[in-house]
Amino acid sequence: MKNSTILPGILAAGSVLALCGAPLLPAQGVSKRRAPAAAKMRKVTPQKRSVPSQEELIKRREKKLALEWIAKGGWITDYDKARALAKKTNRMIFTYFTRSYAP
Amino acid sequence: MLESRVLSKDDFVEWGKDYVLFLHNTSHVEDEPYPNLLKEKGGTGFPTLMFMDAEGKVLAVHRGPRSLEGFTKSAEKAREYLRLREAAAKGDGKARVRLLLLDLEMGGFDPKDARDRLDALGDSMSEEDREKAEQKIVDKEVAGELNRRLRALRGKPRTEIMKAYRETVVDLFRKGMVPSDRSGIGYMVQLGSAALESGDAKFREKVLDTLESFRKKVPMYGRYLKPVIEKLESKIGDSDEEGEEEEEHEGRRKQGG
Repeated sequence: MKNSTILPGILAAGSVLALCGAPLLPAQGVSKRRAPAAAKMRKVTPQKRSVPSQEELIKRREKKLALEWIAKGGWITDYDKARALAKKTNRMIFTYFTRSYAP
Repeated sequence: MLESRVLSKDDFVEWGKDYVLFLHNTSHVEDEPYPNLLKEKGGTGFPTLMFMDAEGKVLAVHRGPRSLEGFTKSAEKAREYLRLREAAAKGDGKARVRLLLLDLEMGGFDPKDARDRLDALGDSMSEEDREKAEQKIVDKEVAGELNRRLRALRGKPRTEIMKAYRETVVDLFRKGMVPSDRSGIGYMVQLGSAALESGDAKFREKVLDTLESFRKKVPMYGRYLKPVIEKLESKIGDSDEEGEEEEEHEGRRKQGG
């Protein structure tokens, strides 16, 4: 399963577009005069987009899963357990896909 | 918003007692046992809400207002799916057709399995429904092929990736595999680039028609296609003029001019 997580971002439609469309899309709003500023921004951007460490990701996940409404609603966060319970109680599963940083 | 205004409210908690509430937190944490569950179930973004059976089969994907009323409507769709599945199992042809179309609409299907089901339906499906089903399968096949290609190119230089990606797109296009949904935007942009580089006038015209048709179907991505469509139109216009000049020249030559 873990092997299939390769290129997680690139497979999203938006990333494919970014990968494929870049040569055809105009460099919007970047005039020659403003090029140095744009170059400066490019230097800064990678730092901002640095990939969070596993520790950081785990911390975010724990913070998310500790939210009060999750316990209040009796949400199950384990897929296998959710299916087993649905089978046992003959109920449908209502699934909510979210991310650690979603509101 | 969804969490604070809907999912945390008492009326939702009460409503939720009729279901198993399952939260999947998609993350890149290494120990996540089902990191691609959203994609496997046909989801493409966040938040995605859906109903599944105890096997994990998607019964209905929630669309529309994210409210208790909206979820109740989607739950009814899920129950309708279960009724159809029961009827199909008893040999109801119309239920089998409807079921296939619903599966295709929700996205989390295997193209090969869907094609087998489509073939098995034979004449019990209208021409219109068959075309719709075919297109959905092609959309999925194209996306799958391009994703496989990208995965195989992992770690290669960007220029090499783009070249190979474009070649795959052209290959699929020549086989008549043209996507119609928004996941096809990368395909369309690359197809346009390939047409601009091509010396084949017929290919360029065919591509232009395809891009214009896609732009109408998926207007939200029209702005990405506009530059390539304009360049193609301009290039086709230039070659038409050249062709006319060529014909005039040929005409004068024949008349001894």
